[in-house]
Amino acid sequence: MIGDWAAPRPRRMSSSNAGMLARDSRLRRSDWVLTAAVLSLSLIGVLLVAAATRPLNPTHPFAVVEHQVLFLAVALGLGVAATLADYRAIRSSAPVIYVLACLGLLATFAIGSSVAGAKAWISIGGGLEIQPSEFAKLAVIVLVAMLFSSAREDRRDIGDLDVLRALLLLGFPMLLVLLQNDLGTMLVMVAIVFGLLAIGGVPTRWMIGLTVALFASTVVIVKLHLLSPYQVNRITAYLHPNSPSVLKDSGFNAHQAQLAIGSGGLTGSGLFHGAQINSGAVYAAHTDFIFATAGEELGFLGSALIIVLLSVILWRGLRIASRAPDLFGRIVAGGVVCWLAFETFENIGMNLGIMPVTGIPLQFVSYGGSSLFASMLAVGLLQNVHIQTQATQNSSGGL
Amino acid sequence: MNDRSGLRLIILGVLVFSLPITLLGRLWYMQALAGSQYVAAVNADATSVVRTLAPRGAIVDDVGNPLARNDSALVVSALSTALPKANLGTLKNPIANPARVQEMQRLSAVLGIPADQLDAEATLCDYFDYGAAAPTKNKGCWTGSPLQPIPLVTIDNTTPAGTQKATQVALRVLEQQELYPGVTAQIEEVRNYPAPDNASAAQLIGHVGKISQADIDSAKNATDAATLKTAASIGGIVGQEGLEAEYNDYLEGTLGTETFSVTPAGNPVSTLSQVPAVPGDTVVTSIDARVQRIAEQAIADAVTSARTTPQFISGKNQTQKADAAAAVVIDTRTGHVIAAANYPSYDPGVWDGGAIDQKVYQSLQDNPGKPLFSQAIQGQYAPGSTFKVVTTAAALDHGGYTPDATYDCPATLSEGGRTFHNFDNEGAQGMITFAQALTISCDTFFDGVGAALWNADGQLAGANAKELVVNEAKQWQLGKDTGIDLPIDASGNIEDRQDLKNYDAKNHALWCAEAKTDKDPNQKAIDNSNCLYHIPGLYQIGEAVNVAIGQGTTTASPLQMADIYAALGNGGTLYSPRIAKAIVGPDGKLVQTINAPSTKLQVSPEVLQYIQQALVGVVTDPAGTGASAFAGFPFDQYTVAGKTGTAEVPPKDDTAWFASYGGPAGQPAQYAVVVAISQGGQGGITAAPAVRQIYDGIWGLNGNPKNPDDQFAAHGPALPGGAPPSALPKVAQVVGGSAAASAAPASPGVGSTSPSSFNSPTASSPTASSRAPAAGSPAPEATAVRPRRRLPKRKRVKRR
Repeated sequence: MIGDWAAPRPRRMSSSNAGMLARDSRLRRSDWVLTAAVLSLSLIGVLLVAAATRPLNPTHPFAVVEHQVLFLAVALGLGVAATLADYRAIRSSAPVIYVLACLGLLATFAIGSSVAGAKAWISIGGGLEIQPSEFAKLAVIVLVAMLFSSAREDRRDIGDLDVLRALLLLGFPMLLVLLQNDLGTMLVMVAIVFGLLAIGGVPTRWMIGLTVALFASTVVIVKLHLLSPYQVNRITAYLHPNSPSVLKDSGFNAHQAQLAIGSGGLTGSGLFHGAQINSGAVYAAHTDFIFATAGEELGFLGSALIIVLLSVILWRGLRIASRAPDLFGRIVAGGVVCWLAFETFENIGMNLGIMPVTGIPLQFVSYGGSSLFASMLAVGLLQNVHIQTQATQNSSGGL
Repeated sequence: MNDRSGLRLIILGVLVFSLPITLLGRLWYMQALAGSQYVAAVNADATSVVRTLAPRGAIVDDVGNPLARNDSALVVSALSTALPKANLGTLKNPIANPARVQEMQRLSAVLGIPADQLDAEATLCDYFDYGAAAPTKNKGCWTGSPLQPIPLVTIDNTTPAGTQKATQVALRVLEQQELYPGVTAQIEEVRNYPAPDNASAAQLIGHVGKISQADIDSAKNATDAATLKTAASIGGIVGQEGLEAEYNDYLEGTLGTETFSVTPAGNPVSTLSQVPAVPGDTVVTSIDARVQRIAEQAIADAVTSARTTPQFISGKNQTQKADAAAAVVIDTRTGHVIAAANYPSYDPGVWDGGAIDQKVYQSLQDNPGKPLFSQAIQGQYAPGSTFKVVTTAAALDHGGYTPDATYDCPATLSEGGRTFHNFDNEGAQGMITFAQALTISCDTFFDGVGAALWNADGQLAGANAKELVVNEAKQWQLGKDTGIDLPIDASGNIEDRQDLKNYDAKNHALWCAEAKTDKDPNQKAIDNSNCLYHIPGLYQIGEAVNVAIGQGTTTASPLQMADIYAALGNGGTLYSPRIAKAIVGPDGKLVQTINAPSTKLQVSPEVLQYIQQALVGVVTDPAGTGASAFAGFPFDQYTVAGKTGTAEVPPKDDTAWFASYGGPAGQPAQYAVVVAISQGGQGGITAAPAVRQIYDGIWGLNGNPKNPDDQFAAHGPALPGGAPPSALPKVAQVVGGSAAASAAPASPGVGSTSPSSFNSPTASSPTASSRAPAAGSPAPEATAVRPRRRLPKRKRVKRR
């Protein structure tokens, strides 16, 4: 490992004092492979959103994708901001971010609107809606990173009390997400929490205990019928995809998505030429089921490229985590990687019929502002950690 | 950093990268290895086939006036997939969707149908969201395809009131679509029976109805059954009585097929292929609406007259009950039916394309006159003296009697210990010929012939009996179905020794059993007698005497007697009558000509000619039983020959008959006209004037002493030129492919749904003065009825 993560770094102050010139050089020191992969994915996403939404509105075929381009511009701005933000300021503002995220989640219960059974959205006027739970994932990552790195700065090891405190703080937003009926986001958050605890160095007995607890609670949930019928339908649809009642509901759409993907073959039907997509056979072909659009129109070559680009992002994320200058940076980068890995696997997996259908988007690719904003902020955090690593190396090397 | 964190990062890395590798593997399998299966599945999955109903062919009369056609109506229908979902809750805890409830209440206010009924009718039968409440909630549910609009109500668009209502409904449903999502209103075709010239002919035309399971079960073969099932699922109709049933195969046309690509919700996206429905053929009948109307009026007048004018019968001057009547007019040269009238009858329009009002239907069924029953074809009455032509032919040709010889016509005849009276106790007429006996209708004369033949056959023993009269009758096709092209027919009854023997063998035990339990003393006496007398004690002389004068167990339908008199008139060709003349395709081209099959009467030419002359005497000889009815008839222009009949069927009043044929003077007969009036009294008084009224109408003659202001005669001849048209009428081409089962429900108001188009010109019935259908009148147009109320189950079996 590089450098001493626990050592104080007085030089940070001087580097941030360097003003605009320093900011410019910070950007230049970002991970360009990561940037290239993210930008490529986002552009593919714009094309796919255009292909999936053009048939829906013959009079304004590109109305939706215009929105997406706007979202992407804003998201890139947010990503740059996160890249340039002060590393320590992020860490110190983690509690504020956490409180804001929880307030956002609470607000959905007061003024939220419902999409496909999950009441997870807040209308912000102009027909636009935001999904606070997307930002809650970020808040959770930053908060746990702050908690555990502070603990390590104070003592030698993460104790039971630290874990309990973290679980309590994580449990609150997760409970809110669960109450929103947003099972998909809930599952992603569980994956993130496991990643955060693992990288944070939580004692192994805790990891084993929590895994057992997770399985036990799953059994309890199923046995006590705590899930609403639509959730059960969606989750179990992939187990028996051809039963009539399933075909009438969510399983039918997954079935249609798989037909679209399978019929794409090696090279696909060509962008804008997917018969299934153009006929409207696949619902949400621009959001949760955008991978079906890729599968049919771009074929194996195009959709494999999406998976490869996602893998590149994961690879760079892991690389940044392993080289992070301190535990905070490592937990942040690791958490982001877990988030990306699980969410993209769940989304593409449900498109391919190997994961249950839950309402979560494909990051960077699917239409939608909230997911894109949160994902770009997460990439910005990765870049921030990366730049911090460079700065630490440079400063150590320079001295 | 500590080692635990680093190690876990490595484990995490392995886990993280396993995910995209898994995805890539699955993707490779789906797209590279199994891709062709998905392509095949896509082609099978993304399309949906919708069948479209064919416009039903028309039934027209001999000049092209529609007896059955298709009129436009506004059909309000719902698309189940586009309606608000019924249940917002779960199966266990259903929560009615307020949006749907309110929409149904709004619709109920517009249509005047209870909201619950609309809701149920708009629900798919396999809709599972109702859970435990399904049996009640799904009552009257839609068994068809979810892609098919479900017809909720049909509003007749042909009457001013109907047009007004249709316009109101269409305005509200179509102009405020946001209040009625999933509901559309479209102009569609419904079966209509316009009754040209106010001619009912209801029992001949029949009617259509919703296809029932019984219809599907009774299909000729599996292909027909499958077609019916498909048609039933899209609201198709089938002929259920009369010509509609008999010629259903021609009338129904061929279903169309439209293949759509559909969204998962079942909404059509685009049409992939379309095979338009082929409209049904038009059935051109030999029925002439004007003659039909004249015949209906004639028997109605006769019934009124019998009920109001007393007749002197059996020493009493009394009016008759006259509960039912029939008239049949047949073309003696072709065997085609020109008219078959019924009393009482009804307006065939009440069937309303299969959506007959239940109360109307019940009143038709409860009517003691049985208007649904065709007296002309199914009615079986003792033919009485009209049968004497059969006895005459048998006696002269085979019985050793000669035309020139005279035989006794006493006041009474005693044979075998029984005394037979002349009709109405008329006095003795002395020695007369067969011709005179027919003219004055001497019963004892023919009683004597029957008794003599019975004695010659060996009396009761009847070894090697010739059964001349019965065999003659059988050769003339009595006792057999006529073979008319209708689902109904009747054979009548004619019995000889062997027939009775067979009948007795079959029923003897039953009669003996019933004789012990009968409560009615009359019935008990009959059953006792039947039980006591055994073969050969059955065929008593009384039976033979009764047969000779067309009474006793002898019965025949008015149609059968018309066939026989047509044969007498045309020189011996006995037809199996036909109503349809031709089948004409939707393109106006002749598909098939329909001719009546025939047999020859086995009567020698001399005897036939002798009978013909005698029958002329019935109406021309002052002593003839039909002379008074034909007083003043222009016999110099037209020849009419006929025979009265007054069949005694105690305890009922007598059945009045007049069977005849007629044509231009000096030429072979053109028409056979028969009128029978149940409980009508004397044939010469009640039935013969009705027959004359029909001839007057056909030929445009005035001067009927009973009805000098005959409204039909005053309008000139019903059949100009004195003969039915030999050429087929020009049948309007049927416009095909009417989207009866339109499958573009996503866009409400497809087609002619703007309110202004509701006032499309409708056919006005051709008036009595215009013979051909008015130009531009929508003769046989398209069809597709959507009957709303289920018809009572009716069997399509030949009735006797």
